[in-house]
Amino acid sequence: MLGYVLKSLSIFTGKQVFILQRILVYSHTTTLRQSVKTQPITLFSTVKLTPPLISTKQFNPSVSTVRNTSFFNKLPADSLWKGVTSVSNAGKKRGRGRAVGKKMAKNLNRGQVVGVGKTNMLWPGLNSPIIQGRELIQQKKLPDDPDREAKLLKLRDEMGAFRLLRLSPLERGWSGPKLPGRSVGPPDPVGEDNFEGFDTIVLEFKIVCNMKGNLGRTRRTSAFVVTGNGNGLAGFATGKAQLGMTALRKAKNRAAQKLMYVERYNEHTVLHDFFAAFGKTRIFVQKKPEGYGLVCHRAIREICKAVGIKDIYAKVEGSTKNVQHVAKAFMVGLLRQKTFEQIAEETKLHVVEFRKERDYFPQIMAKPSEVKTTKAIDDMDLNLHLNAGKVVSKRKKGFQPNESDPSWKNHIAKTERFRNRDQVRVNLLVEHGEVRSFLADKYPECRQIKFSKKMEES
Amino acid sequence: MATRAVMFTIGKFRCFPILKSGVAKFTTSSNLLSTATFDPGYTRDPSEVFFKENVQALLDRLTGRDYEKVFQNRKLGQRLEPPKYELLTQAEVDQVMAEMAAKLKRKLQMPPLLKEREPVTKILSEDPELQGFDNCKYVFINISQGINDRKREVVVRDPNGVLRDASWEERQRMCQIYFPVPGRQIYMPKMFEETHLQDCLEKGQYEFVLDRACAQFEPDDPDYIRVTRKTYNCVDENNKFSTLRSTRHFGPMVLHLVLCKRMDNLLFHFITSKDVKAAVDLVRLFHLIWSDPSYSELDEFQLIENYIQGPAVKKPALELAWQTFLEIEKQRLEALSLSQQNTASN
Repeated sequence: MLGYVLKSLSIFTGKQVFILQRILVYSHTTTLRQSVKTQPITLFSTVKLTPPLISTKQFNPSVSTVRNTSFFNKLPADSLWKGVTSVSNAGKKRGRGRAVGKKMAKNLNRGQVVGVGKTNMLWPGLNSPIIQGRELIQQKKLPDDPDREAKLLKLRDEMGAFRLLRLSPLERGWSGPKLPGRSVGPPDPVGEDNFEGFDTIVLEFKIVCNMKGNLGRTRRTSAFVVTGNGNGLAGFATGKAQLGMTALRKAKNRAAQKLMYVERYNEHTVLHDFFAAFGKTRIFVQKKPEGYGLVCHRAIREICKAVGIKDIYAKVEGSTKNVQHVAKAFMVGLLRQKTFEQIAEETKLHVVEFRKERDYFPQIMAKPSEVKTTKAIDDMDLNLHLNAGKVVSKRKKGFQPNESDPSWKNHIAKTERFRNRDQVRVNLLVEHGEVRSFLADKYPECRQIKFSKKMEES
Repeated sequence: MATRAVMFTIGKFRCFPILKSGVAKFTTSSNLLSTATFDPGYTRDPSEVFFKENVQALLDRLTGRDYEKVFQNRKLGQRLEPPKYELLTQAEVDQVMAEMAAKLKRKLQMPPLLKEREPVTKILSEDPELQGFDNCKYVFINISQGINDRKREVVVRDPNGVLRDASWEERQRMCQIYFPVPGRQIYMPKMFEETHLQDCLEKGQYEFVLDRACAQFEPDDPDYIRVTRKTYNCVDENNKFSTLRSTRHFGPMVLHLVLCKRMDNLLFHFITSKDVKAAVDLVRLFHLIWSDPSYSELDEFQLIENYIQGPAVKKPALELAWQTFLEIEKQRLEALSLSQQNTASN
């Protein structure tokens, strides 16, 4: 049989010497001949070619040996894949295998069916019934499927690497693909309570360890979440579990059991400025007008969204990285707020609001049951009363120009002509429909070139 | 186009020749172009009646004093500030409210209803020897402090050698340069041009138009008269009296409508909104202006009925509204007396 093969090959390829090993596997000579004729020779992986020596007169064939046994045909697929996708314990200690986890084992059997191969054959009993109607089906060749190979390769390419789920920018968390800042949906329903309108946001998601006598270092995942309906109700809690998802679920459902009601001013901001602290974290919160937004620590921002506060300024001093302390301090502050009625009763004075947009018309927010006639020193300012006589120290402004300084005068002289530039622009646009020079009447050809976006020629 | 900014002093005048060759623009100001006089609908001088004390009192009463309306949230075009809070005793609250009453009075001060001003024609001197001294006008203005803008000396030397008092437009422009009035622009805003004004009025921005007209023009400016009278008429046609109630423009509007003898819509509005006092005041104002002495003896209901029977133009609508009002009033009184009887018997 071998001789026949070699003979047929030598007929085909001239005087080249071949070392054929795998070809022996083939028992059917006709198939081999067919495959050799139709396929380029390089497809045979174990065939080694030496280029023909054209220059030498005498033909001198070079012979190289090929080892037929390697770990490829000795080891099972699982072990082979393990070698590629993981790193040994010893290797890990030396810092190898940093990319471990990115590569995953491919299941090469996927997409392959018994009886279906490169040649599209109909094998009765294997990939088709033997009898159809009253006829016996014969084994026959069907036209080849040209896309089969490409499909198989595509399927294999898709497998190998670990891919993250694509998130829309609105669903992303604070940083990259990390969980903190991401929404994990409403808490699970309890009885008839479905927690409609609630949303949960992860504030902290980390691995925590504990040493045990028999188990050594045990790891768990800790999740710290806040849940709220955006309408005054909110709660926060931690949950710990071996699995991250379980920790999240636990935390979410625990938070739903610890809901607190927070008073808001016109459903958009806090009732008044306040100070709150927890541990080393201190927070100074300021009431802000509508449209100001949430200018604060990101954890505070998420809590505000859960509570339904839309405008606030908060400055965190001390530890800002301890998210649990930040959250607790802020929540304590929110819950300690005093309503206008409470303030009025405490001070026995009218609480009166003045707004610039109402031309400082006094709006009486709360009246006490009885009004006192003389005021204490703390009653001079609402914040003084709320902070029990303490005053928030304000930082000095960074740069204060010395107006007699020649360099400042120079600066003013240089920039004076630009001081109303934006307003002048608007006025010119209103008056002439364009930004123009005062010389435009005299020299109409001197005007600003208007840039218009070029339309794509298609 | 060089601008001359040479300053020289003669006596108490500090004189500024300004905008040497900017004259073309100067003389063809939009105010001069649109001098086609607007017909307000009456020939009387409204200032004769407007400044009368009893007319002022009636207009003041008709305007109303709704603090919520006068001190409503306004868009100031500035960044919003957080509200300020104070802890006040009752005495302090009363004091602040008294201040607010004064503020309200100031805010509701009515812009006068005047007739169009006469053009300035006074020539100070004619010096033909100065003819052609320059190709532009020289304007001299006294920029001393503490002078009323209408009395401030502003004179113009024309290129033909005539020295004359500045026209109203020239005066307003010069005063605006040296003593700018907040909210006033040197050129009339496009909003007050006929087409744009119509758009503004169609959007129902009556108060805004009137407020801005107050800032931009003098009350006897032909443009002011055109813009405001047009707005008043528009309010009347669309029956949007409540938008101007408790604003400074309500009084002048009422007076304008009464002078035009087209106050029936307003009276109808008062009657349908069951505001008899205002309706009576309106009829009293009508009689006061058209000098009918017989009204003073009549009681309130009689006064309105007489008006509807007499000088009213839209008689059927008014009569119907008045009858319905009377019926409702009657029912209300009956119900009241019934409940009183019940309480008495109990």
